[in-house]
Amino acid sequence: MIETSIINKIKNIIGNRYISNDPVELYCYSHDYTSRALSWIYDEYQFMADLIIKPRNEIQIKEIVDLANEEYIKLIPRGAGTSFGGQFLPIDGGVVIDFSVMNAILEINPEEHYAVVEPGVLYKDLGHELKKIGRGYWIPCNPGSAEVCTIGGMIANNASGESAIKYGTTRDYLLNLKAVLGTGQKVQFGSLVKKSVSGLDLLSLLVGSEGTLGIITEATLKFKALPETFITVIASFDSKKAAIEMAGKIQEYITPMSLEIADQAVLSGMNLYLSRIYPKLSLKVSTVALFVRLDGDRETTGIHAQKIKELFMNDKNASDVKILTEEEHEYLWKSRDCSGPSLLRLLRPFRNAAPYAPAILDFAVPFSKIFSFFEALSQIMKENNLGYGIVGHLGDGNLHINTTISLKSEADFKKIGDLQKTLIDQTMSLGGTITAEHGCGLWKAPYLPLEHGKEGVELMKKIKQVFDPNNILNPGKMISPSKLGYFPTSSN
Amino acid sequence: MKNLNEKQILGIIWKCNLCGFCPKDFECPGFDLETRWESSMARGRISIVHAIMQNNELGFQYSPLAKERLFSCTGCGHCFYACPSGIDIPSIITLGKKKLVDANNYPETHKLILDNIKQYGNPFGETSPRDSAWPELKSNTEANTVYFPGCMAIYRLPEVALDTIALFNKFGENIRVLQNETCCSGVLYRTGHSTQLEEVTKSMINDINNNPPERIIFTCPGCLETFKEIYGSELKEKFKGIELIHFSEYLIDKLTDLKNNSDEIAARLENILEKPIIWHDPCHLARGLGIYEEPRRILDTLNIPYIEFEYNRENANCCGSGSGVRSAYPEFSEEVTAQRLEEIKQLGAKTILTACPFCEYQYKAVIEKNGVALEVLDLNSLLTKLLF
Repeated sequence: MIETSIINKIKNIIGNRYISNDPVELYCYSHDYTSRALSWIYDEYQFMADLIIKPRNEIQIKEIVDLANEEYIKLIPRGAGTSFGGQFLPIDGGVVIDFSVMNAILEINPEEHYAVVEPGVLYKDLGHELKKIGRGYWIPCNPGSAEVCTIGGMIANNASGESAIKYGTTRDYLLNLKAVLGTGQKVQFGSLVKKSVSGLDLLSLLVGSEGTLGIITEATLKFKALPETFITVIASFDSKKAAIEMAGKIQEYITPMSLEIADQAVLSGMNLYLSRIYPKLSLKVSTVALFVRLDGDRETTGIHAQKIKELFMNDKNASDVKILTEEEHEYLWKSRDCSGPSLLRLLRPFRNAAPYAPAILDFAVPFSKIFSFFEALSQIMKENNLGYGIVGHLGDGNLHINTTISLKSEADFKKIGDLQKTLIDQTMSLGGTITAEHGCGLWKAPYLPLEHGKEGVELMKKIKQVFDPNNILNPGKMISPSKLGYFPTSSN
Repeated sequence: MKNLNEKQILGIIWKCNLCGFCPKDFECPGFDLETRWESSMARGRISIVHAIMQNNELGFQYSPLAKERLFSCTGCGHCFYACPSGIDIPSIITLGKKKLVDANNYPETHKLILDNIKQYGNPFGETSPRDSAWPELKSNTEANTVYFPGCMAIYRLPEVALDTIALFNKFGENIRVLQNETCCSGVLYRTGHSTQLEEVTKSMINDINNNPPERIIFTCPGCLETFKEIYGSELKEKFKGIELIHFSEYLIDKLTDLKNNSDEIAARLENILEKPIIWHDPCHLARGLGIYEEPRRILDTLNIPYIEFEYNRENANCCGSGSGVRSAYPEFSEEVTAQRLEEIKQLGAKTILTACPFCEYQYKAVIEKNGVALEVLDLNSLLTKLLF
């Protein structure tokens, strides 16, 4: 509990209107996609903060960090609350810093092709403004949560999604960052120049650090010209192996904007969603389907689409080959973005009011290993007798397993932990990563040494210690211990 | 919105993934745009209801913030449409309201609505309808078509009912109104007083049951949604087999008749209202009942030009008046309407056309209060102006 005198000091900094310790509000902030599943480790109420604050400028943030260092208060930065790893869930109290009202687009510079924004700006709002300029611009690293996520959250998680195969991740679009470190020091990393090799890349160190090193107060992102057109080609396959081989052939020819795979269950989930928002499009529920999104000028993209269509048509395992209309294209990708939640609805029996937790698990392996990985994941899920669907960014070797887990008994809780470990072991045996884009947060934090080794994690902890010696920033996430002010190394 | 029991609602809540993909912008009228608290977005409201249902010890059923968050939901259903999992969020919130009513933690104005309906049969506490057409139509007991105007048209916007009756006459439709029409009481369900529903509507439903028509035609989408979706199985059993439709659906059968008048209509249109006209999709008519195209087909058939909101049909934004929000939180309700008026201003429209007396009344009230130069019309009133 934070003492009343300290809460009053925080009120003086932030103002009454932008601060809440109402239990109802605290409860609302204690939930996210993973909070139910995480109840195998944490008590539900453990995620309740002591206070939620909504700063409006860098000065307030600096004052809050200074106060937190003086009084040993945990600070948990939060964007839109849409991450998949419990990144913004407080553990045993603390102050959640919600950036939703620090949301101004400060500058859009069409000449230099950059935008300066506050961390709470929604990616979709920035995209909307960029589209209005000239022929239109965009920042193409769109994550699945593109409609609701904030730029600050994207930076803190190095967000990416379906277009990473061609356009990379959020890191690739950052020129400059302003932040307040855990020490209270105000810093600016990067420049307005598109390339620089001067010194260590401190900007990249903050990207994807999940709010454990510093609090982002301003970001400068570069943008690109919006492609003239987007075309999607889809095909159904009766064999996973054939679909994955086809993905290899496509990449020999071109790097598409997106190269996605969805299994039978995910396709059913997408159809459920489409039936509500765009019934004109219904996907064939085959073993797997490939969705290939192309972008560029009309003529070239049209030629590429025809070529992909030919590749599909010449494969005896492919069927229902189709170049989508503009409208179908729009709704297909909408349903793809929402495929996880749509599928999970199917996986839970409607009449059953028993507690369930959703889980979207994120792993990646080298492309050459993806078929073995796909098969192994399916086998593990079947052995655990769990309903599941697999969808992924095939071009990046990145697969997501969507499942629901019953929360009825101790055995169910144990199952979550065992499953997580089995899947991670499988991933590591194939030279992969325990998380390609969803982040560590609380979900994956315990498994970091499996990927980076003891030495790697120790090095990360030392970096954390330099940036945030009192461990006030997002304790318990990634490499931060959950205890405040306590910084264990291998020697202690 | 469906009338579901607690176990069903709990099942739906467990289907919510808490992903946070719910509308966090002006698409949700209840979302606090200035302070953007989590409790004001759909995910937060679901969490509140879940806590009230399963964690009594938290005491949220007595919380002023929980009350404000749940009762400021207009039940527009935009979140239901936007939710990737298709979670029926309005039904969850409505159950939450019921729980707060059980704990006696609800807006005073809703108590007044309940008392008025119980005592006078309408939410306004009025003692008689505002026009003279009713007695005549009540006595026409042989008619196979019942017209159900609803309280808003009977007591606040009689021109909507009179224009509708004029259209019925023009099409030679033999109609009657119920001998004992009381409030459909959808507002009671939507404000958490669902347990009162059967009692206050019993005599009216018996009236229908005693002399069943072939169909009942509604001008208020909220009343129609209440009959179709909200009444429980016992009430529904009493009007089983009776066709329930909105007047815009009825007009679809009259398109040929209407088309014959299209030249005359085009000439009159020039003089009777300011253009451009903008079509407002009422939440209960559009997302609630899935009636999106019928009004547009009528306008297209008559060559009446109109423009669309940027967000329309399934994505249409609420006028701000639903589910007792106008009475409980008038300032907030009017702010939502003012957002719509700003959109209309940006689009340059001069006349708002709709097919819901609640939306019409709300727009008119805020337009008058804010001194905006805009006209609001019901589709039926427009047709009457054009055809007579």
